Amino acid sequence: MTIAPPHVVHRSQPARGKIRLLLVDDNPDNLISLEAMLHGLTDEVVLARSGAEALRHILENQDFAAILLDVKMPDMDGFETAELIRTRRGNRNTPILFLTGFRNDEQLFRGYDLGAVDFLFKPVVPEILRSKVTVFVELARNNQLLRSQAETLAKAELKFRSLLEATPDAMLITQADGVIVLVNAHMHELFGYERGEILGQNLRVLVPGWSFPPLPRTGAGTAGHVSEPQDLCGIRKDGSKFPVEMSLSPLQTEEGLLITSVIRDISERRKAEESIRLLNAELEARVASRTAELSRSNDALRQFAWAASHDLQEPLRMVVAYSQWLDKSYGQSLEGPARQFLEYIVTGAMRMNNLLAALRDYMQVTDAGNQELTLVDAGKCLDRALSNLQAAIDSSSATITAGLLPSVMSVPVLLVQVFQNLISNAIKYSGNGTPPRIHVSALCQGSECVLSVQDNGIGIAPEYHDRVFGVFKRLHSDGTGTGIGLAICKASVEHWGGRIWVESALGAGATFRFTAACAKEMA
Amino acid sequence: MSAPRLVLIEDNPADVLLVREAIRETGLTVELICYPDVPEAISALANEADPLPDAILIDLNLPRGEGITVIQALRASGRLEGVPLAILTSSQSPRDLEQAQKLQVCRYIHKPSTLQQFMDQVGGAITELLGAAR
Repeated sequence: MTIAPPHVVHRSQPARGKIRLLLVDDNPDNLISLEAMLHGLTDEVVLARSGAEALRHILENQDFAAILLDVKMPDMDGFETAELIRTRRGNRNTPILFLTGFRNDEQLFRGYDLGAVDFLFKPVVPEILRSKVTVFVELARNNQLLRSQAETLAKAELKFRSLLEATPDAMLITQADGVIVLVNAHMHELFGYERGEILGQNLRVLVPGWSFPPLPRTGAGTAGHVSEPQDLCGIRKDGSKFPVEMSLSPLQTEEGLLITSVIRDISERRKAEESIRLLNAELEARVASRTAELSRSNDALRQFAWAASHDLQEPLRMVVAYSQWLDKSYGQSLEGPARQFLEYIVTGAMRMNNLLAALRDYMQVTDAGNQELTLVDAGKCLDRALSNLQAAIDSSSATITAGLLPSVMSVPVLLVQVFQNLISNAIKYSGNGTPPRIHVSALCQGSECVLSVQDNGIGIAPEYHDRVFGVFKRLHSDGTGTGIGLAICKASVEHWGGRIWVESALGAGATFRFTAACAKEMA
Repeated sequence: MSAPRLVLIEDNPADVLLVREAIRETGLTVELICYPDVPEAISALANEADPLPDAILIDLNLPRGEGITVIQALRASGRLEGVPLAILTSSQSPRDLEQAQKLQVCRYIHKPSTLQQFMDQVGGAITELLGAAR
């Protein structure tokens, strides 16, 4: 046993009604033979044994392609039945073919009066019957087709109408010359004209800049293609103007080229755009004024720092020189506390002197903004730094080794300074009693090079890893550091777009690393 | 033979004193003539009646005119041709150094901060200047 899959069980029929025939004869044998003759011609044949039965069928289903009506029947004959059928509005045009046994002119005339379309004489010749009935079946089929096409058209029209009205824009259909043939309700909202006032007018009354094909761009005039939206000016009935966006869609019809123009009021959008533009302009102005303010205050700070490091130097030099002279010439003859006081003055003045010198160095780096970056041989810079540090290296018995160093984008004096400060720190903060061992190396990855200065010194606890790069941040109060060396390194490295950081643990040495762009990858 | 004459154009008496001390430490016998400002220095040095100094030490940052103007005036007069001239300044400006180099001064001494450096560097420079003058 096979079961048909569910989707083939209900195959939907084409949407058309059945073509039916109504056969009316009081003789059942006649009905059966007529039905046999017409077999296969229609979808359904309905049989009636009397006029009354025929009328009942018609009441139930008035839609027959044709009615074959026997003239001679008891109770109600064919003519009476036809008369009654014709009184029904829906059957006024249903073709009726009378069946009669004999030719009688009087009967024929009566029959034609009642709207008979034809007569068939008994005994019925099957071919004649079939051919005559076929004509009416075809007619019924065509009628049905027409009706369904009309329905489809009406639906399409309805869809089009609802689309026309549902769109949030004004839609106008015009001829190619701009004469308006159809508008939707939004046209009234947008332009203030009544439908009746505007039909037949030219669209240029509403949008003077309207043109087809659209003026600035070509190639948009082909049928079915919507043009790029154009920004134009619309004019309301009261004469007021407003900005619109319009797109055109041409359609070739039997009545000629029709153009659908979709018009949208863009006043709000324009307002929004304008306010965004104003906001942006205001923001830019604010940023510019803030930047100028910052730049002014930055300049003021710079001048202050310059004054602090240079102008304070002169009086300080006097304090340093004369306190030292005083100490040298009269220190020995001073009483206990007075001598101590003088020592404090001398060391304090020297410390301030060192700080100012460091501050000047730092400013030199931060003012290096106008120094162009060039490809600098890091190895040569390291050599310069080491020669500057010769005295400190000798006195600390430091061992300094270096790997192969590449050329990096930098400023020579700054790179020397960075090496010098890092190595000087490594020497300064070596473990007590252990001679410093310092290794300088480079590792290039792609276009970035990481340069490292590694030492075996006292190290830095992780919580201070960021703080060490701050200006005047010192971890040790031994009096030798100025707290500015690493700040200079940071400013220098940042000047050439690099980063600097330290990897270290307390008591485990420190590795300072900084980056710079390198010319090419090292082998 | 009389002691060599050294002209010092310097407005700060504390610095004059330090220079005097530096000369004393060199052990040289030097006649030190000081002028505290530019016009005074120019008029004194232009005086034909006075003998020429053996060397001139000049500060750049002076009241009533810059040290550079003095040097230019002296050079222009032609009177001090051959007299060695050195600059003693606290200026850090590279522009001053550049200008001094253009005027072909013998030495450009940056006033050292510590006493010992001052004695060493200024004393050494004066010895050199007076030696060159001989």
